[in-house]
Amino acid sequence: MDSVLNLFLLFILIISVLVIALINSAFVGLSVRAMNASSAPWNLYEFLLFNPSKRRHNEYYRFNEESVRSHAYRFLGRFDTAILHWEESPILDIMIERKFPENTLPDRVKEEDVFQAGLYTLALSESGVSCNETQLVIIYCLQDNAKRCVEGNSSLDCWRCSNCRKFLRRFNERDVRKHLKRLDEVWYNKRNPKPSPSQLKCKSCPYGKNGKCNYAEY
Amino acid sequence: MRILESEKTGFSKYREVSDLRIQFLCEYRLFLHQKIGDESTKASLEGQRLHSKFCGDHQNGMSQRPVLPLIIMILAVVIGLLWILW
Repeated sequence: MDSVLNLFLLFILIISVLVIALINSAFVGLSVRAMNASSAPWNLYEFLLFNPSKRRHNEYYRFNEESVRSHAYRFLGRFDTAILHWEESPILDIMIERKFPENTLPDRVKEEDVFQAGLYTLALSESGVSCNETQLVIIYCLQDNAKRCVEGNSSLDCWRCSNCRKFLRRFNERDVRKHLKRLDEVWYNKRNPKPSPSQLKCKSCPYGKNGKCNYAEY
Repeated sequence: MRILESEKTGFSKYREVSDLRIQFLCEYRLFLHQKIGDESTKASLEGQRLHSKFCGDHQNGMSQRPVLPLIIMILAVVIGLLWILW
């Protein structure tokens, strides 16, 4: 009877370990890919266009501060970090966007930051990069902590750092296109811009004071 | 991250991602930004400086493997096995 109980306990232990591993797998899997990524010896467009002989299948490459353009939506920008690898076509695994708030770290990811990372990803998808499995990672780190990291010559290990907050969101192309369509209505003069009713947004806005806009008429 | 002036060459009519982000946050804020001008705060300038430090000067802190969770999991299984089979 004891051996049956022991085997049952062993079974429970293994299942628990597997469940914990599965829960962590999203971030751990990403961390492993990000940490395995080597700094690319080419710029992003060389990587996409010239098919260099040095490029190896299933090797992850990290690109920093590269500019991207969307010709369909007519925007351009420069992403912080992107991790790509090559199978049949180039695949974007991770798009990382860093934010350095001054006073407090957010409890939840800010939608505007997810949207920003989504725009870079959308532009890359237009360049022939597969973004079906892309994960958007938004990292928030307080300016004082970031300054200490930079000036203190530490390893800048954002993935393992407990002072910063990291959020993960799967790239949703449909959502990004939907938001762009709404914003385009203002860009192309179909309607006037609307002030946001959120006091929280006005508090951090340079054109607002005490949670109210200095200019807009609600 | 803000686009450099040199990168805008030939694409002057293209929108910047940072502008679209501001518009997503509040449509009127972008309108004011275009009408009144840039009101970059000290905090946002410091943020831009840190961006270039983190992305340009370093390896993004991704040089170490996350071995600790793996070691903990292996230890848990070994201890469990010892406890049951001892």
